Amino acid sequence: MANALLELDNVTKRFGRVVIAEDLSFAVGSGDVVGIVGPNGAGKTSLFGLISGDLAPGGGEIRFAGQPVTKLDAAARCRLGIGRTYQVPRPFADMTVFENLLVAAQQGGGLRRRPSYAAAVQALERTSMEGQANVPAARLGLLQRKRLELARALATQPTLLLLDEVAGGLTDPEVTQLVEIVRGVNAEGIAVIWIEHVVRALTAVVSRLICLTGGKFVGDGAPAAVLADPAVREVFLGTEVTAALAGGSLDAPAASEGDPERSEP
Amino acid sequence: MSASAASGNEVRGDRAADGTPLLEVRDLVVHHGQLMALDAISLRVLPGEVYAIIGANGAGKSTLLRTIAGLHHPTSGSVLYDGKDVTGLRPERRATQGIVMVPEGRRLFGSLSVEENLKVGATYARQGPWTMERVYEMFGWMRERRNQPTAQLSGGEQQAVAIGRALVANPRVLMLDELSLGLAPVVVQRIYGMLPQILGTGLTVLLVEQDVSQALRVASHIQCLLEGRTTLEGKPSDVTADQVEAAYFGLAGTAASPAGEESEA
Amino acid sequence: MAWINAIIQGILTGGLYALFACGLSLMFGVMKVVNLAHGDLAVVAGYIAIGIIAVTHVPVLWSFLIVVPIMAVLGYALQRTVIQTALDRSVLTTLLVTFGLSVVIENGLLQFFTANSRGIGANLALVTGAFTIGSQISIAYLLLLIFAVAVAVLLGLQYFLSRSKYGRLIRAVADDKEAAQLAGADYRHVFGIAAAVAFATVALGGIAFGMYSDLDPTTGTDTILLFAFAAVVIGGLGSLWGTLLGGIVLGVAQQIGAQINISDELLAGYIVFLIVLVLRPQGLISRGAQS
Repeated sequence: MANALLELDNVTKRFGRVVIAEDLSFAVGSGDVVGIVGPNGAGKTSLFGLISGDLAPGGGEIRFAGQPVTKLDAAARCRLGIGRTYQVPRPFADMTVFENLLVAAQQGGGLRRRPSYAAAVQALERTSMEGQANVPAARLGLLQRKRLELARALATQPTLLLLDEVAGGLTDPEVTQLVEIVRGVNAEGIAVIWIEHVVRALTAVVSRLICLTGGKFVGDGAPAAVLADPAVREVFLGTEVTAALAGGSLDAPAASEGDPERSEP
Repeated sequence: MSASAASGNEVRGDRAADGTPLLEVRDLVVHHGQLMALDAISLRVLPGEVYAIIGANGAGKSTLLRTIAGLHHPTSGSVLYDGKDVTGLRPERRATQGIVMVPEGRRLFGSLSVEENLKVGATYARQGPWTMERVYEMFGWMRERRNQPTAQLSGGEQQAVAIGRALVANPRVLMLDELSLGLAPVVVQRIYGMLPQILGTGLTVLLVEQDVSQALRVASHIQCLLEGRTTLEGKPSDVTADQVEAAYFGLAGTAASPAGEESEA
Repeated sequence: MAWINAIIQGILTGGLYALFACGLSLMFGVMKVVNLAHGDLAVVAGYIAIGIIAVTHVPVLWSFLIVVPIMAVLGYALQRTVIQTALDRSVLTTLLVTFGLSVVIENGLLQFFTANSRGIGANLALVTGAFTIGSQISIAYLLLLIFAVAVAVLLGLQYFLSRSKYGRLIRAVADDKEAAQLAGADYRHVFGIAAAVAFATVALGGIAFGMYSDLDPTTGTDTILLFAFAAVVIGGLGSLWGTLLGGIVLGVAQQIGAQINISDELLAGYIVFLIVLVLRPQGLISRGAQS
């Protein structure tokens, strides 16, 4: 991809015998919205770690805005424009929401005092948290914590936003609100990569879906096509169901073979 | 009898006509902190069944099993065993009453040998057909290696020991949490191949399985969870692949029929 | 020759220190509790022995048989009530609670028995006698006996942990208490058994110390707890026989220090403790060398 915002070239990462990333290569352009799905333990959060700088790859190169960042630490990458949220929200508990955002804007965004206040306010507005600005983070409920997590990432002035399972545990209307926020963020030119189990949240906003399993990409393309891809279906649903979806009925022979006590009318 | 697709939480009425359940869950609501993991889940497991719970990660499958095992307190709702309310019973008491779980990730006692693990499982065992001898017969390789530390065993072998540890307690309900996690497909098949032997001794099995096709192969009844709610429930022979896919991902529009009865042609 | 005597003394004293240390190590290994009242419990055992002997006039060596079971029951009770409640809050809370327990015990003893030091006296040749080799080597029978008892206790503990039903349960619960629950074991009860064993061994140590030296209400924290701690750390956390090795190293270091300068006895021991902490914090026998 020419002028890609983020590029991964043959990135590999192992923890002992467990393969987190196996020769992964992909690119994301500015303004793209990409969704990532995959079973647990597939390496999705670790992929974010490799991109954001929390994890160092065993091999391969990572480039951001054309510049190699493989050797840079997380703080440096954040200042360059990679913002991320964490699966379990980790706000600065003793500080207020606004103070959390200020830290993000000043440290991550590299803004000086005046502009950092404006950036913090902007992050509040984007996530509809104006009302909680002066609430200590420790007192926030789950939904608000997730919003703060997102707001903090936004306050660091990212050009690439990494969202890690932000929709988990949210109710339907809350998911809809979240999708709107992400749409709005993307409309301002920020690229988004979103890991999610709540697939319908992804399909509402992403133009590209990637399936990651066992450290490898199994599907990469338009969401509908990827979800219909037999290789991707196989990952989640297994062999028989995938075959049945492709054509033919779902035969479940073992249900009558394998358990003698099953009551049959 | 047919399956209900995305019908929410009511357990099908005609299931009540099948007889008294050995294990029952009524309107179970479980939270992890503030996150609602299970939203008024109900299920009924009949004696001798293989009841499989499927669903994407984050759907609440393991939380359900852990709550039934007593490791997690529900916010509301009840767990009934053999007609008695056991919701308030401590996990070790449920085990001695006959509800024994093989936890996710095996959780063998690392500093104990294979045989010692089995012995611990047998410490508070009920009367019944399962003995260490019988477990050694079922898993032919185990006898020679019974004095080895469990860390030296392969994943599949560890899983076998974990199952053996549960069996020697002579449960009435055996709960299997994500047997296939981290194991090669061939190994998984072999382990599930033991189910008929286990059922033959009068046990009932409740299992959580990531691999949907595998679950459909062995189950006499399945229930699909998505974000803490039931999206599908019925006999494997009564569900179509499309229904399964729709229930698994929760995407309206990929389902053949989003609501109402679906009779098998 | 005096040096050889010192080393022999040090080795044998290591047995006493092992008696102090093995209970501390057990409680930490099984339930992650650092019992800051550990030393005081040894002193309590000693005082109970003194009291029983004074009132009933039983032979001194019988006091073991009475006091040890009492302390074991006390251990189970304290574990099931005070310590378990603290554990349920957090592991750090147990530090506070056992510290509080230590203060309460010491002040209680001070009230009842005053600050005067006491010993568990006995006029048996076994206790007061010694055998000599040459003019410089003198080994007290009592010290030898204590060492023998320590080795016997460790052997017993090893057998208990590796062969008995409760020993297995204790190891299982230490590995994974949730998985143990799923196997039907009430871990609170198993913790109680472990505490009972720990209290029993430290009671032996306390009575032995009371016969060998003198006890006063503060001996628990001043001496016994520190020595137990040092022996555990030097020997290696998680290793049963490590407590004996640690005790011996500590004892020998102390005696060598005393040979150099009589007032450097304790200092020498602590310097060795510090060196081990800096150079090999996992101890001389690291984890995995369990029975």
